[in-house]
Amino acid sequence: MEPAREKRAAGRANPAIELNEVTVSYDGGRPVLAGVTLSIEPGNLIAVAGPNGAGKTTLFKAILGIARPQSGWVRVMGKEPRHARRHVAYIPQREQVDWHFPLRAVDVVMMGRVNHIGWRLAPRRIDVQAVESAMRQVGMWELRQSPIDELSGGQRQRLFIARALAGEAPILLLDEPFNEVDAATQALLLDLFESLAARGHTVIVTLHDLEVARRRFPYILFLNRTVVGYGPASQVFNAAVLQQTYLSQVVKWEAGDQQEPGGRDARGSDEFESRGPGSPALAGRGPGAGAAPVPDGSGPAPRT
Amino acid sequence: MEWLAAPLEFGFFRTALAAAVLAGAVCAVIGVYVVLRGMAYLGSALSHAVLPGVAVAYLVGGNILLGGLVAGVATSLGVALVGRHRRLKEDTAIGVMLAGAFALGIAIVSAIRSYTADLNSLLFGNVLAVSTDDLWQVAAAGAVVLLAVLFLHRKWTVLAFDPAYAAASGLPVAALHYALMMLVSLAIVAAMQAVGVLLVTSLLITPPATARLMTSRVSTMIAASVAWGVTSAAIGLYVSFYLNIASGAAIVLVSVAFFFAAFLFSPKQGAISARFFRR
Repeated sequence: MEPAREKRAAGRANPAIELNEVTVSYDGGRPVLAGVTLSIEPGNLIAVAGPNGAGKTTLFKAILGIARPQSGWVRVMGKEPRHARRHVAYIPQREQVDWHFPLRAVDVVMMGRVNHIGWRLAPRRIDVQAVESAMRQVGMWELRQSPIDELSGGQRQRLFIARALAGEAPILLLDEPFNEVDAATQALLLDLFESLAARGHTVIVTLHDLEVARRRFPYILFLNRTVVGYGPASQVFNAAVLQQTYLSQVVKWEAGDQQEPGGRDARGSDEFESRGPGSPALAGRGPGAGAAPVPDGSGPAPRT
Repeated sequence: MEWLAAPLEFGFFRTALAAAVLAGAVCAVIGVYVVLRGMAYLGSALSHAVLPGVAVAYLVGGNILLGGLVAGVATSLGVALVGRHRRLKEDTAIGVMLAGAFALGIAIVSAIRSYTADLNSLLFGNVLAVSTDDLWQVAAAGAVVLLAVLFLHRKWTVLAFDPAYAAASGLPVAALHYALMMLVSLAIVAAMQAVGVLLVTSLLITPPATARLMTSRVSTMIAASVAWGVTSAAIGLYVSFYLNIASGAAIVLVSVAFFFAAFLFSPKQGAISARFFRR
């Protein structure tokens, strides 16, 4: 697999992504990102959490070379972002596209090869193989002939991931993939991210559900215009970081919970209840607290 | 079958038929991307906007295809520029530019006294007056459009489906957009003589819309769109010949009739037939 090879070639010394004192503002307004310094190792699986307007999308844009920093610099695989676009795949929110578009599933995944195909009139065998491999990895090969308007939300999300994989980019940026997917799909996506990371992909995911971030992501980046906390969940998941990330929101967090062994089941989690994206009024409770005031922990935090 | 062959006795009818069918095909192909990107209004603006370019080309004895192309691109640049203003939406920008460019075109044409009669044919088309030279121009425009579609189809489809992804992949989004605007302008000028600038939008939008109702892949949509565009142009011209009505109007009416037939009766998607199929 190409990403794995690139990882080995890059070694530990070369981070997949590096940001140094990056400040981005639009139209000279208040900076959306201010002095962001960050180094992301290849093969890492990272959750990016922060309130709406924290600059998560802008961080992605800076990595993609779409947003130019006013100051500071970004390096992707040691290169300027606009020279490293083949190394980065962006997976937009599903809601951003018109799913009634006249395409079959396989056509969408072939879009991931658009740069590889270049000015050729037809895809080569290598392109077709990459598409098949990508669709198999996400379990969408059987549905390749389906018109995309017949796919479910989870299948659409997997299709987008397959499109990114088909391009063979070692770095994947996912914009809120868990929005409006059911518990089973979320579990499936998490497994997929883990296996991608294990194979050397650098996977960066924005999300709102902090409990998922804590349980399933080795690294968490707390972002609120600047880096509030960045590191292994056990180190950054504390009251100070949470309060600083979600400044204005009501944050209650009882320290000590984060030392709980991470072996809890993939579904039940009412410890953190994010009340809709952007305003995660957290009610943190230890997993051992049997008499949790929030009733029933049979599913992931409900979102509105 | 005599009614089919009879008009073909006339040289002007044969030339007209060739021009109308070619124009219908060219517009139907490029119109697919206009419809998929939801830019019908911009397409309409371009059809009006080519008028000053064509008028100036007449005036200085230049190539009308080139004139229309320049005017079309200038207008789409203007729309992008005005539409970027924070207080204005894009359709507002289109509305302003459309009327402005169109008025400029009429002003120029009306200033040339000898061309007063031509204003009518520019606005409403006069396919029966198409010369062999004109036909070659239409054919040249068609060849350019088809060649461009061959090479840009894949990228335009990505741009139409997922602009954010297209930009993130490093596709030259702006260049692709203006390339499309250029080719739409070319197709409009090519079709101008057949249906006139006022109705050319219909050739761009209606056949792809009809095709969209009955296909679920972009490639088949293009094929179906061309079929509808060509058929409408041919039938429309015959209707125009026998009923003695304006050729542009006849072609457009036939193509709109096809659209509504598909809208009501296309399997699965049709407003009436879907109800029937569901049972």
